[in-house]
Amino acid sequence: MKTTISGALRLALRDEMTRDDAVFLIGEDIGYYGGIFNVTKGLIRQFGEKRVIDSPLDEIGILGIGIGAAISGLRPVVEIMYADFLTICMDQIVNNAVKMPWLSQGQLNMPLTIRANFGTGKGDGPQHSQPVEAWFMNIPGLTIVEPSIPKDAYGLLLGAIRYGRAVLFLEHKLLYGLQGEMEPDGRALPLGKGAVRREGKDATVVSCGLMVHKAMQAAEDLNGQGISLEVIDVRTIKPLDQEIILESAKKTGRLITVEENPYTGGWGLQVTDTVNRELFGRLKTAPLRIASLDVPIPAAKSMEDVVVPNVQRIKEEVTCLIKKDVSN
Amino acid sequence: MTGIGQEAVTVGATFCLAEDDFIYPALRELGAVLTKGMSVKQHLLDTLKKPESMSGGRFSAHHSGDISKGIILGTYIVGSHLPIAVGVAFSLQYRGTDKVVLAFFGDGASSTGSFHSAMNYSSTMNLPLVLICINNAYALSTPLRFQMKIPDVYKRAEGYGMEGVCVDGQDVCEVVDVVDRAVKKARAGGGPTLVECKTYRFRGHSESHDFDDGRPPEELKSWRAKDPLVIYRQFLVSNDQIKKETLQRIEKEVEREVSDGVEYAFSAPDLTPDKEAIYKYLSAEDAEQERNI
Repeated sequence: MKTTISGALRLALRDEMTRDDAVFLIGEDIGYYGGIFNVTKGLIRQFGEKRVIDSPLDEIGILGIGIGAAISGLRPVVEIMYADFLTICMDQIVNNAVKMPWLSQGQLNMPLTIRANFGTGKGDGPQHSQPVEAWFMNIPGLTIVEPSIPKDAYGLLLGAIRYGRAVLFLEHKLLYGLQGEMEPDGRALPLGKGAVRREGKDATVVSCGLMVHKAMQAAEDLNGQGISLEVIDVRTIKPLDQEIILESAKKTGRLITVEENPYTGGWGLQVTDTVNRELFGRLKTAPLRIASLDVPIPAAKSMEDVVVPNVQRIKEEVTCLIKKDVSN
Repeated sequence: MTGIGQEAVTVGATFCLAEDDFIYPALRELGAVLTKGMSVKQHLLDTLKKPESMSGGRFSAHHSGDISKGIILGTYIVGSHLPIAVGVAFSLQYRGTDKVVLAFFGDGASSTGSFHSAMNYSSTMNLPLVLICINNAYALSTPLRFQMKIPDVYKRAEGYGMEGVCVDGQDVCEVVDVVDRAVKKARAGGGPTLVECKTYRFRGHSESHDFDDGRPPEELKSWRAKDPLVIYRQFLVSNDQIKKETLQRIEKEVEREVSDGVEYAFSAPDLTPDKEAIYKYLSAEDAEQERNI
């Protein structure tokens, strides 16, 4: 069937709630309103107010319910309306959600899924569209998932809910309406596995979420100019699928990361570090990182387009890298 | 960190629970933890971070928890456990049980956003939670007058549509009376209660801190005259509630449990860290996937 990413997420929630009574949803305006981007629309009518809970406007409390319920036999899916609001409940995520299973030597489980929309492209400005991935890279025990197509959105959300530890499930708000083929077959995708979106031979482009689509467009355009890019969608930012990245970089000899978060400390560093460590001396060029500028996300779309990598910038930087290498 | 001086609150409140209820200790609730069934030996193994400690050396005593005994693993972030206590209470209600969560916290924690969060959520969702505020008048060294405009924490309950009660935290009988009522109410679906227990800590913030933390000596002296252990002992003896021999027997048993625990824990071997084992339980692949409660 053909559906959007938000449709696929809704199907995943519906299917898992049908399958498992321990699964419930809590978040701001997720009930009758259906969530700020309509992901949970209609679920309250099907599952009732007991399992689809409109929370007070308080992210600390949302995470508190999620963590407390997760250590006592339930499988909560909590929604943080905008990922920017994760700052408010950072304490609960960093100090409690990821640590409780480890500190209790597995006596406590943490089957907690934290859904949040994020990302640029709508002119939502500096507190409603921050690419937040890199904030969470440095928290041992936290898994970070970011789907780019409906099929993955369905399978990865099932995978996250069934996983016994805290998962930050990031949904790019510009991709909610993206259509694609998928089957609601109840099958979870494993976390931590990337996918090759396009095969190529001149360079490996590693990205996720919205940036996968920008990288794919750049690859398509550059193909006409004789540059062949291999595009990898990591799908899980942490832990990274090192195998798929290394295999591709070994083949193409060049590595480019395209990420939406600001350049300094961005998650692409983990990719270049992995490749430098394993393939140093075997690459044709130094790895290239394409990321947002080190500034907050501005609200004017024209300014946003300067800050965040766009297709044109990806093409220019990639072309420059490959030509520089060839001219040497 | 000791809860000496505050035992009537921690022991008395926990005494009101059934075996399968839950406590969520903050940081000086040893009385609660022992009353809920953790052994002195286990507590000391946790304190000394021995291989047999609940966390295998990853955490310390008071916070270690043992969910099989209904003791929830704590946190060092003051107040941060309160929203989680709400979550456990939510889970108990969601699954149709009649179990109750008892969460302890201090006057300092009542200033945090987490406290507000716990009050608002538990009241709005009518959850089986009893919030025990151990008001010992100081948050580390900060006296109440720097902490809040009002002298009483329990009065805040009204603003959340919750019942708030204040008790003399040196009188275990009074603590038991009030908390027992709150627990029964929560069990019957009557929602949460905030119980403020006025008490005092007889020791410094921690044993490793300078004992002189700025509290007036005469204040400490006047509270020491209200030692909850002495008060209750006098009550028992003078009212013929207990035979002298029985009391002596109990005290001997306690002494033996403590000395046995000390001997066992201090002579237990120290940890030899295993680099592989340090990663264990962090990801779900290592987890035992059975439901815990």
